[in-house]
Amino acid sequence: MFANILLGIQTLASAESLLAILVGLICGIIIGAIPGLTADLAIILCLPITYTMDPIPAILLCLGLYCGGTYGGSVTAILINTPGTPANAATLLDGYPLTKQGKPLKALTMALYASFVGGVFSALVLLFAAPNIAKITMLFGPPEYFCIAIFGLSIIASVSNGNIAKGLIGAILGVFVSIIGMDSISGTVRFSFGIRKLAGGVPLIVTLVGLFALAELISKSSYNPYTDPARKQKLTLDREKLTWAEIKRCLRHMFTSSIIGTLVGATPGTGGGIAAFISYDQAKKTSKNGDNFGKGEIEGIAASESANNATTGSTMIPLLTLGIPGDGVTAILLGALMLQGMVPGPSLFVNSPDLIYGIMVGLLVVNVFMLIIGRLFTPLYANITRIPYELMSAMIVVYCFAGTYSSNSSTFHVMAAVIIGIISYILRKLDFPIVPIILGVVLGQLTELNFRRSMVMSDGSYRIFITRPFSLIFLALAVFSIVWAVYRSIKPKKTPQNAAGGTQ
Amino acid sequence: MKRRFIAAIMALSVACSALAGCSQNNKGNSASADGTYPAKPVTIICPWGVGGGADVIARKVAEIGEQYLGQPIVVENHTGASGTLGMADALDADADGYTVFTTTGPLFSLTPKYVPVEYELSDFTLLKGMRSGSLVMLSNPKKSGISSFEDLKTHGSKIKYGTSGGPGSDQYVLATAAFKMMGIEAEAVVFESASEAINAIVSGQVDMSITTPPQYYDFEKSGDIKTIATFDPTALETPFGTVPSLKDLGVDVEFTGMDCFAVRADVPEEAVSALRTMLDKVYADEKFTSFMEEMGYPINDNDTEQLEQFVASQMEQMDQYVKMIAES
Repeated sequence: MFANILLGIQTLASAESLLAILVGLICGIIIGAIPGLTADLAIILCLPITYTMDPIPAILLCLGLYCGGTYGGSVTAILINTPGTPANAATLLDGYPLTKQGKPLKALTMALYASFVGGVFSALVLLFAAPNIAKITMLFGPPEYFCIAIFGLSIIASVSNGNIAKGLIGAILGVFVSIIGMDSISGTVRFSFGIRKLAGGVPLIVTLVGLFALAELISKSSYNPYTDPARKQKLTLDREKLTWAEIKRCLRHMFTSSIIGTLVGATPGTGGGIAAFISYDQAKKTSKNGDNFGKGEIEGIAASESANNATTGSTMIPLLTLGIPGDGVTAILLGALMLQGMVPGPSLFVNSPDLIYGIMVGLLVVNVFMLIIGRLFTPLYANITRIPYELMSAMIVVYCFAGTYSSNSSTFHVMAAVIIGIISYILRKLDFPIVPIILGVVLGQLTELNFRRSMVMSDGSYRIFITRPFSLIFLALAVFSIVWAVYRSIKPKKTPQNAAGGTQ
Repeated sequence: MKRRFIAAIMALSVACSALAGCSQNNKGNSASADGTYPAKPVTIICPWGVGGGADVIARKVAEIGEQYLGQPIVVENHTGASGTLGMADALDADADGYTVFTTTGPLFSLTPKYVPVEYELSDFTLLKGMRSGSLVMLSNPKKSGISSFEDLKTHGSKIKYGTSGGPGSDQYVLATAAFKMMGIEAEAVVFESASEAINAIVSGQVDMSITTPPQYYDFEKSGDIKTIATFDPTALETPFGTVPSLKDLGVDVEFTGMDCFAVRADVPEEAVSALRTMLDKVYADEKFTSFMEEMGYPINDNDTEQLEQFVASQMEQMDQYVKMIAES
């Protein structure tokens, strides 16, 4: 084991490898921070460069893009209320309120530290426990995935800003968007209304850009720089730094969220977004400051950012041990590995331990570099809020359109993003919380397809969900999550001052 | 300070836009006036995702082919709706020879029976084969107790099998037809990818799986997977011994997977022959052949006539299987 780790360090210790990590991280952070451009796209764009490189630097470049992209997405979530990648959707819940309070620096620093903790935690798990964890997640089949998805959906209540009915309607809308297109089980095309391109479904990135970025821009269209009070009084940016007490307060959340993120990431087909939401919900329920979540609570950022970065290492577990890609990025990484002539699977550990351990140790180095680069960049980022909004909005539009176009080389998808943006704007005006919608989009298909697969496996008996230990655990968690949310919403009404202040 | 920062951000934004623009192709302006092909980069549309077999091969061909063609070759993945979206985009592209695409036999012989499409075989010229793929039936001898074709026939209870495609996919249709001919009650659990279907069989979620070698070889080596039979017309040699064909075992189904490069049928002859020459040179290149061997992909270097014959006969067979499945 330790001989292998040493071997990995040796493989890694070349100028080319370290340069690849550096370039990958910087590009990843920038691309991840641009709404519409995701880590997936960053890797696709850089893939041709890797053809001519040695396997280790090539994969490290991709890993740098992956980790940097996942962290970089938090920057825009915090600063302009648009998650850079789907994994950062939970970060904006508290990140943007903090920016509005003039504390972007605090939020950004927390996001960086949390990303670092999550990333290092899962890289260590990958290094020391990958084969063991793979043995467990291999037992996960459709019933387990269904129950995980249900658990994910049970979080709607706590991200609905107190309006559960509208939250549920939003989530259903999201599920609807996710099932547009060809159903992979029956081969039937659903809800495409005869539009050919819709038969391929609405890509997640299109929904994300429309739902957050474009809707945000439309709702800012009434902005007038000449009447902006902040502009008149010579905006002074609050330089309030993160205090040690705040970091200490968040440590517990970072740790539990790293565990959650690592577990979710090791489960193929789930991904950083789900991990972030589950962790956010968990932190909200266990924190003393639970009621402050959604209003600019630093703990919320710690929870969601450590969770989504904790998936970066653990999605590599099924990829490297079994050759199963857990999300879009790892599917592309699988392609990158294949192009380098490496076929992931048990034999790769035996045949080329230098490569495997080089990659795994490399992931640790990537996270350390990310912390250093992030420290240098964070003060710069905070200045983004100083860019006049009339300039900023133009840039955001350009990026959003470029990102949606390049994800599928199609103008149809740009139009789809605009339409979703208009719908999202109307929903915002009607006070619908937006986050449950994205939760529905992310989990809709996962829930449906795995339910149907489970039903085939069990010949239509629901018992399959409770007779399998892991699916029973996830189902119990989901039930607990809902019961807890109901309990929390009923309890305060009994206290006299809340009843007086309530609407009844 | 502030102004400099804004300038820096702007510069960065220009750089990133340029980066994003790299993946675009310059459609629209057709071949240059003097008619020399190729005068600009060539795009290969792959209807499947990044990292899949067809994509990996197309990217290798692009990488090696650039030097023979003298122009950059860019692979774009236009995925969705069982590959029919990429096909539709290929049909929409200008017939100037600057858009090549990869396709498969079933996209002509089978998918159109399930998905409404606007193309047919005569719309395209199949340039050259890419790879052949055998379809095989796998079982997990430890968990399902099936380790041979005989065991399968005497299994008794209903078989659950994993595939990576539903009705309209070759795996689903062929497996359904085969089980029906054998008189075995079976139902498909449709997964998203071949690796999921393989994982499902190793962990015992399903009794059998239908997939393509060599992705599962690691598990056959460890004894968690056994190849029961192949849909190839003749027996298949694998590192673990000879796998009998279903046809030899008395089940009258056969199928061989085929990926190939194609262009629109109305592309000028000059461009078609330039592309053919490029592909011939790539297939003769040692870099390409050793890559294919390493990956375990059998090269299919059939020419246009052979490919079209192949697809035509596959169409007849598929008609028969689909009809048989419908009679229930």
